[in-house]
Amino acid sequence: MTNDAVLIAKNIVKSYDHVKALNEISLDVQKGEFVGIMGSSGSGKTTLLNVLSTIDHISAGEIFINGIEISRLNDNQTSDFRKDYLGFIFQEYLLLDSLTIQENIAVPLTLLKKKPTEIEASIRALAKRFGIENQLHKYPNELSGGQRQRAAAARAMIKNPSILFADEPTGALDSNSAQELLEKLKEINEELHTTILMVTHDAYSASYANRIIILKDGQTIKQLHKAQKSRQTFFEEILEEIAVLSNRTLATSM
Amino acid sequence: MSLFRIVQKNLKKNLSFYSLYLGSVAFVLMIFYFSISFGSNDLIVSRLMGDNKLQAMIKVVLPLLMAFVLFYMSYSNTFFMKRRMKELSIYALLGFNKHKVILILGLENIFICLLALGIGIIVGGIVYIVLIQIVVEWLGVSLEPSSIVWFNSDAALITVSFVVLALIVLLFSNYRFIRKHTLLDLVKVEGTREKPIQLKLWKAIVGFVSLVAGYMLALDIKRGADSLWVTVGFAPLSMLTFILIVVGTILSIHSFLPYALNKIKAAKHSFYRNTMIITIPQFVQRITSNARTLIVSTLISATALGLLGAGVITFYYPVKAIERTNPAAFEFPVQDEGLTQKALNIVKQNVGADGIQSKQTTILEVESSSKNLPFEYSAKEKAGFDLISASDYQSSLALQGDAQNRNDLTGNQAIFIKYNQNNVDERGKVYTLKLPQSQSIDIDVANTTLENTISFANSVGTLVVPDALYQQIQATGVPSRQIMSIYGEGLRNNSVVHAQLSPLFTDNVYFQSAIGKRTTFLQANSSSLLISIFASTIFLISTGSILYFTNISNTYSKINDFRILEKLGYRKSKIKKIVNYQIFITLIIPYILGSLHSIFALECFKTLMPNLIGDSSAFWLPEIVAIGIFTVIYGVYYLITQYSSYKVIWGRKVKVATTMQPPDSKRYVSSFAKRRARSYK
Ligand SMILES: Nc1ncnc2c1ncn2[C@@H]1O[C@H](COP(=O)(O)OP(=O)(O)OP(=O)(O)O)[C@@H](O)[C@H]1O
Ligand SMILES: [Mg+2]
Repeated sequence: MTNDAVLIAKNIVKSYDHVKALNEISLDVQKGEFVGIMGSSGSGKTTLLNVLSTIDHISAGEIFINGIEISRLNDNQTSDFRKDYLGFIFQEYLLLDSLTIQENIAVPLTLLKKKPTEIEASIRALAKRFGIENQLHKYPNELSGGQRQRAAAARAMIKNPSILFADEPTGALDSNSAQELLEKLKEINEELHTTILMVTHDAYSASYANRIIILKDGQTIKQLHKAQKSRQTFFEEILEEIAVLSNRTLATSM
Repeated sequence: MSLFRIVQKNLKKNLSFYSLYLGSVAFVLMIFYFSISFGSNDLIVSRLMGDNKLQAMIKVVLPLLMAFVLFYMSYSNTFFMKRRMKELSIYALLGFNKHKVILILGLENIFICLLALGIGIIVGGIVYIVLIQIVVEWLGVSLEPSSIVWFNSDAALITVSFVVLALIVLLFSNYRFIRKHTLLDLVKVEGTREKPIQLKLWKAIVGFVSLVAGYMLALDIKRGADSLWVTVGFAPLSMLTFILIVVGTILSIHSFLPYALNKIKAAKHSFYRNTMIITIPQFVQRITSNARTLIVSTLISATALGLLGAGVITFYYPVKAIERTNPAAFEFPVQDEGLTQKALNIVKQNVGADGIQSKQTTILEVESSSKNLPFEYSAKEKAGFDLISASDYQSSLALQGDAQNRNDLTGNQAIFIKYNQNNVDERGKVYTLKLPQSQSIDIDVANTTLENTISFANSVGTLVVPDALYQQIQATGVPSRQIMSIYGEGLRNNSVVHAQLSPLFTDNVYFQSAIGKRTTFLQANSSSLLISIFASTIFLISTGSILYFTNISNTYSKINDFRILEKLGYRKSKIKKIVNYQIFITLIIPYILGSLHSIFALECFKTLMPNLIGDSSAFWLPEIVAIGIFTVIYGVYYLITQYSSYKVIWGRKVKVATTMQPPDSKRYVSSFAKRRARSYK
């Protein structure tokens, strides 16, 4: 593909004892893309996200991010790599419950040794964008799920990561909160050109992406592109595709 | 599933966590059982301690120990409860009623405490036996073998009833806790932040003032006769000082901690650092229980250090003082010329004519008509001053290895040899000496010294006078007596000579032997030193253990945080640093405060000891020993805690990780959800 790819995965395999959770997957992600990863439960979505984001190791294949082959990095280098380039949003938020929201968001910047004034300025700006400027001095357990997830998103975004990884970020949210978060992700994707990889179950969330990769049994079985379609059209296309796929699954299993 | 099966399964699943709880409770019960059986064995206590002050200390120490065990059990129980609550509340969600949850928790608790009790008694018994053997072996204390039984039924009974009582209280408070809270509270209980301690100015001021007042009162004892300890009374003053220090410690830790943490947070440059930003809030989250732990550890370690230092002082002062009480290797009054020659010959036979240096001093006995005489004047059978000549004094000092020339007395000047360093300054005083035929002579005390050349058994209230004056007084025919002092290389440690000489002077208290005195003293007092070292070490270890379990429990509850940090790109070494900081904070506060308390307590205690040693470097020895042992113990605890914390975070292969729920909960909940869904169809 073009040399604008931030992430290149070649024939990656991840096996657990007997199961191949990922079976020879290859994929490229361009800078500024918003990629959705879909698939039924157990199809390997989380596993894929984890190996792409250096949290887990692959059994075979190669993964390059920003031209660096991540499987060759040692532990410290991997940590540093995450610190410098990657942002994460998890389904369970994973905010630190002893820290205020402001402190939570500050953590990645302290890791980059930014000045306090600089840190506070970026937090203010980002909190505003994510609509949590009034929650900064509260603790995570004093926030609603949606607010927590937006705080987690702000923490992921604060250092302008090369790639933002999100594993079912809307999984625990009601549809309003989910929509708000997705709008924000779309916004930063369009305005700041942050590359986003998002795992999701749900066709509605997926419709915010530019491209959708559908997994089954650890393999890519289909890709959908939004191209110039409206989100509504894309959403319907996804729904149709899911129906087809699950029918087929149903058929084969019968 | 029957309740027993559930309890059994839980025990298996959370083995490492349970064993931490089990281990910690067993450890304190071991100490408890051990101390009770030690203290309740009258025979051993009286053999080892005699009627020493330490016996009184044991009485203070035991209730403290009980309070400590109670505190510790409730502390670890809370820790345990919180950990278990989340899982148990999921059972409750699955349809168990609260009573069943309470029952499960209660059963687990009873099971663990009883097991800990068993282990505690067995291990405590073994420690007890081993220690008694050591005491018997090393110190040659004779004990009938029958008195050394590892199982002391009285002690066991006390321990068991104490634990059962404590357990009942704990179970009851658990019961009330669960009754009071809703299921939702219970699910959240682990992650909740404790209520922050409000920074109250009055607390800080009262705390600080109490501490300073307590310290000043402790030092006030040094003023001697004018001090409040004398004018008001020893008992009320010691009580008041104790209360001030305890109150001061509690309030200071309660106000200082939040103050310091606020300050750090406010100083953005130090707070917005990748370690601080995690360490400080994590500490604040548990501030109430952390503060409580720090207060208890501070008080216990201060007590232990005081005990240890006091033991060292009681032991060290007399040993050190032998240099003064026995300036010569052997010394005796010359009453019988034949006996004296015999004694000198015995020494010569043993060490050769070159190895012995003897010095005979003639002491003139003179009374004084002055008022305001030093206490040394009358501190003997027949009141009076002992006069020795400057040249005798000088040559005896030379034989003791002090070649400096001090023979600069003129006219009626004298040097007064003090018995101990006290507040009285005799310099410049004039004493009128009564001579025969109603003559008298005035002596000016030009200087005082602690360097005596004759033992206090043979001369107290000694004045060194110039040779001319000495001869003048001697010529008037005042009574006199001769003292023979024997010096020689290595003679102070020569037990063979001692064994041969002492039969010549049976029942003669004026026969003084440096080695004899030391041996007698060591035999009588080594065991009490050993006991005080042992008891205080146990206490220090106990505080170290409280802090250990506090830290480990904090780490347990923070595993998820550390996993998150790893994902955010924290290197392992950074996370270790965060853990280290937290351990360090919890150890350093009791370390500093405890040491400080003990220094003041010991300063106070020293005044109570007759101080024959003028040498000021010796003054710090008890503190150095106590704080040295403290440093070693806490240093070791720092390393152990570090190691175990790392183990807790990275030791297990299983990823506890990203889900915040206990291992099986997802399955339970989802099957539960399915069941419900089905029932709606
Ligand atoms: N640690 C593990 N050990 C063994 N097998 C695993 C492990 N983690 C995942 N698997 C297996 O790998 C496969 C893919 O799992 P993965 O978690 O990636 O699925 P997923 O697509 O994220 O599913 P879901 O939508 O339910 O989250 C599954 O068959 C799973 O059982
Ligand atoms: Mg998944």
